[in-house]
Amino acid sequence: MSPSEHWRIERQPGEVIDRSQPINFTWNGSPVTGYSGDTIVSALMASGVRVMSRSFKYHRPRGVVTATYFDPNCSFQVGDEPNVRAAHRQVREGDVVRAQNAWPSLSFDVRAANQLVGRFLGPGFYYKTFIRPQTLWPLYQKVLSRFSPGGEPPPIGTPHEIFDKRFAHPDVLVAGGGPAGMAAALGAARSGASVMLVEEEYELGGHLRYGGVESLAALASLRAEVASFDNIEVLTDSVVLGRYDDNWVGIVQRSGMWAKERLIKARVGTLVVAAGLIERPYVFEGNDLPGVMLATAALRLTGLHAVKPGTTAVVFTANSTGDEAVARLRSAGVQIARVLDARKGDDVVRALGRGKVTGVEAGDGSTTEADLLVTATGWTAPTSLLNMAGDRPIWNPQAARFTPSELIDIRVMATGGIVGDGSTAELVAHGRAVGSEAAARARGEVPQSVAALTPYPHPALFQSTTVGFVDFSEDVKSKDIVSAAREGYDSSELAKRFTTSGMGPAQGKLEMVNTMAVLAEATDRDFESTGTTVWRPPYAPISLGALAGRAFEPERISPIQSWHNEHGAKNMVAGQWIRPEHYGNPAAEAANVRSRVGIIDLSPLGKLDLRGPDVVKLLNLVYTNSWDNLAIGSVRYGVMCAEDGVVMDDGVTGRLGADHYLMTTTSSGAGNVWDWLEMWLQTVHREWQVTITPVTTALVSINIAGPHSRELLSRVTDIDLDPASFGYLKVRTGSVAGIDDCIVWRIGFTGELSFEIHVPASYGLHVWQALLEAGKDLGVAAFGVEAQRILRLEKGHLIVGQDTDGLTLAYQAGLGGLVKLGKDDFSGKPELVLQEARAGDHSHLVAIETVDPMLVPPEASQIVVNGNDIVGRVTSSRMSPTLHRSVCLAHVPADLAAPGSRLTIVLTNGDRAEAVVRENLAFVDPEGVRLRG
Amino acid sequence: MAESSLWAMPIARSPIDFDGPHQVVDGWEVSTRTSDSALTIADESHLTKVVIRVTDGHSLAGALPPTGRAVRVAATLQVGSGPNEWYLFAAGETPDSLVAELEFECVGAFASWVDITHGRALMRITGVDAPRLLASHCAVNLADSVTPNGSAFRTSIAGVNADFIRDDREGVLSYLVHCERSSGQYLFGVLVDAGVEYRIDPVGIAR
Amino acid sequence: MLLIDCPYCGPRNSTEFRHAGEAGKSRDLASATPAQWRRYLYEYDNPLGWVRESWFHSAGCRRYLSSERHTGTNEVRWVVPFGTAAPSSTTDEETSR
Ligand SMILES: [Zn+2]
Repeated sequence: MSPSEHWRIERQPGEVIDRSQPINFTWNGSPVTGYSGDTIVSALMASGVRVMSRSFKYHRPRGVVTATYFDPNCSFQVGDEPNVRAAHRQVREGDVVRAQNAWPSLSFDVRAANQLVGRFLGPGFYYKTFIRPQTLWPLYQKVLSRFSPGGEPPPIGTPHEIFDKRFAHPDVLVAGGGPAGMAAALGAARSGASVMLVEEEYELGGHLRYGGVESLAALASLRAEVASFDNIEVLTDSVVLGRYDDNWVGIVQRSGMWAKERLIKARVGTLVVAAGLIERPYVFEGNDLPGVMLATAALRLTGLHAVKPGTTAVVFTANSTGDEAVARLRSAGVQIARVLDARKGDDVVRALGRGKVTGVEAGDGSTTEADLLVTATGWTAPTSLLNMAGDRPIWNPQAARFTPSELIDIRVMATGGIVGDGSTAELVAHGRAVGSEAAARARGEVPQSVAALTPYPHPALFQSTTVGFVDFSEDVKSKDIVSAAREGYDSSELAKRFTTSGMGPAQGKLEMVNTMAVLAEATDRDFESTGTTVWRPPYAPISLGALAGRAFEPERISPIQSWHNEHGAKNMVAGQWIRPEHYGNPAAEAANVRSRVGIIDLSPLGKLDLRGPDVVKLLNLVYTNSWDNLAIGSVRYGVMCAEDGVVMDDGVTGRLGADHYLMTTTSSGAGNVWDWLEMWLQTVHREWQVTITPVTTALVSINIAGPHSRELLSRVTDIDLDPASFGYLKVRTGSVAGIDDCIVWRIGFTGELSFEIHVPASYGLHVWQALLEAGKDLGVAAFGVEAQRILRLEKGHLIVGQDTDGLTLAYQAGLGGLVKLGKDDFSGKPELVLQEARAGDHSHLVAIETVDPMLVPPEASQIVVNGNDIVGRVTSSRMSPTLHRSVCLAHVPADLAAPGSRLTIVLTNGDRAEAVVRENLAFVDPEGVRLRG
Repeated sequence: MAESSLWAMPIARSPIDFDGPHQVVDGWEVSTRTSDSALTIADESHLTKVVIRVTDGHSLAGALPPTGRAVRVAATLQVGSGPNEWYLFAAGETPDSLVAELEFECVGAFASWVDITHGRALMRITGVDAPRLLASHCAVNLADSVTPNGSAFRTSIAGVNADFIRDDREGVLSYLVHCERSSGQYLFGVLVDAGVEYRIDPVGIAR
Repeated sequence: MLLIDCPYCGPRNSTEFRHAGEAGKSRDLASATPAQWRRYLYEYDNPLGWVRESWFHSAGCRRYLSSERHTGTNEVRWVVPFGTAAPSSTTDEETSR
């Protein structure tokens, strides 16, 4: 297509195109030239393109209707970006633009397809077609995807674009940058408020932009005034998406910054809704033909883009905007073949033509030849944001549109066309008054009322005597609404869902009022009793990228992680922590611990520093066992239960001084346990004197385990490690590898002689490297989480959350020995008293041996009786490198818990495996000789 | 205990690492990177850091700034980080010397202090664009009217709980960001990423 | 998103808080029957209307707070430190806004 000046008219006073800057792009493969400032659609219109898309269901050719963001017929594929609102998006050099939903092609007359699909794409087809038979669903999907109006998502591997996010706290946020919205921003800014002014188009001005010279003069002075205020932040090509509790407002900014799009989350003092008015289409036969457009579309194309939308026009007008369109088209060189004035009783019955308008039949039966039919039949107030603030707008029959009722939240106000009409001066005066009051309310002042802006009377015009389209994007005709009502879907919400009218991309902005009008007439009701549908967020479509924002996933790393990475660690994610699962051979790592010595980085271990005279009371309350007699220099293992007796966490707590304890928790439980302790201190025992400081990451924890662990540690510490003075379950402090104030305790999760050292974290890497260096001749090697899991399972030590679940009480986990029911109070006590009274009549955690020693049943395998009745499960299973056979823990019912009981385990492939319950949970060293050594 | 050159000279390492020259200063491996960018992010994790906690009614509450305020006392920044909770930050001091002047004994109430020098990451963002950068992730209002110089608050940012202390430098907007150590590198990365728009540049310790 | 005016931290998004349940449940270990104890553990009034409840400001001051919120409108009428007396001017009959 060669650039055609045929459709471009002379310079307009308000035009936004820069004629010195041609922009070259392609449309369905053909080159097109527009100007900088053109939308994709205005550039196409200027080149003579009239058919923009094929409709969703019937594949009817469609053209420009509104020439705005929500034009139902102008969603294009631009490069790899689908669903671009091309009547809004400014065209860029090199854009590759394609029509969507153009199957087989935009120009091919698919009458056959029309008839084919018409049969089953009637109202409610979603619900009727797909009920049965189910076997045909894949076929339905195949056929329907042909008719899907969406474009092509970018191919996998397309580089990510940056989607930004920010928070904002404006005193006043004005949604809509027309004359009233600009004035509201000015009114608020003058009283010192911080203001955010959000405009969906690329420039402020609203309808003034495509108005006459007086409108343009008023606009220039308003823009200059807005620009003079530092406290007004103007966001253009941006839209307010929704209003939520306490004026939490979402805004998407679509251009004009470094990122592709930006989602702004604003906590707003007062929200001023100045969304203006949306012109409503008229329903008649042929109203979807290319060449039928709204008066505002004609004014936009001529005024902003200097594009002549046709050669010969009929204008159907019921208001001053229609009258203005007549004058504008005339001055643009369009021949006005006829003006039909609804105020004088004129009507449009049908648009004639196939694929484009060729003529117009009027209510008097006469026919006029024309390639353009412009309608100006009324307005819809986009009250979405008011709906979201709890308002239920009411139908105003004199003005033939909805207007706000009483706004139920004082921090939400409205101005401009959404509330009423007026001259530019009147709109501006109302906006200023509302803006100033909005600022006062944001300051917390007592609300004052603002003089009302009343709507002009307007004839109620919705549909002619013929059948036409109510929803262009969903291809819903007025007769579909009527048949829905006949089928019983006669309430507004039901009719909407059944016909899908208003459920397309425009989300009711164009369709809702006409749908309700048709429904009201079909059910012989008035507007009031027909009601309306509720507008919910988002106000405008939003890309998934903008919602996702910056991708971030908190990640916690140990001070030793750099060493792990340099030494072949295969990392795993545990909660937010990155941890070495192993360094290549977990079984060998475990074997090295049993035979020599290994070290593991336990940095994620939860640690809480507890101080104060009442710490022991707190310990007695949250642990099930007794802490009365824990001596300074000793540590003890404890189990925590929730108030329902379910095992919540476990760990070792050591007494470092008279009033000073160090508590350890599971890695994943550290945060919960801290909250839990604070809950008891802040809400139940407020008199207890205890302070809690989280020190999980202040101390790097390293476990040295294995028969040579004492020898290794002795080489780097001044602490006396003689077992006579530093026995099992004791704690000492001293220097390790030259670092003072290290805490060392003897515990035995792995079942080996082991020392757990807690080192100031900045020296973690230093101490780790010193241990490896000092123990070279002892065969020291790092071991990872997997080796530790093997070792603890060989020893029969449970892991909370793996060998217990949300229903496992202490006795079921074999922890009864740690429950001291004699204590006055501890969390979980009432339930544990009841469980203890059942004398073992509940499920049990037991160690089991598979009859086939080489078989390792997967964790979570079911244990069954009588064929398929599930009675238990395997909670942990591994191949033991020490015993060279599989080792497992399992939950079994009481009658299968006795040693020697035979179990049947279901394997993944459905096979059954036999196993026997063992006497003792520990497979290795049940007497505990090794760890006490 | 054997003697080894390996641990004769222990080196403390910050949780935050970035490209550029490093040297060991006072036992800490620190960056000496410099920048003339108008917006910088510096690693101050090597500062000595102490947290003080008291039970209700303790007299220390009168001697230290209220919740939400930070004040400089000589070389020490005292931060009212929460009810009954304060941080003390200073360079080159021992933890004991930071709390030496404070009276912890109090009848009927208990107080404790814990050295968290090695347990927390501390960053400083300086430049007029600092609040705009932080607003990418921080939901708390950073306007002067709400959080002026000397404000302190804790909130969640990019999924991590962090303390923010507005501590302007010679009239230039500056914020300390304080979080637990293991999230330091992650949060540093998040802030640098958010600062690309404002040409943020990491800097080390000025020598 | 709900805005909760923390008495220590000022107004904050509700995502910084953890809901800690309805207020006024009594934890009576000594004399509760098993049935009463389980009511304490699991049952909530959950009315439509004003409800007194606790929140834990986990991402801020880490304090437990008491508040009164309308479960229909989500209006939070007051928030005070846990254990502080509720503002006396409010009554159960008072309606939102
Ligand atoms: Zn708080």
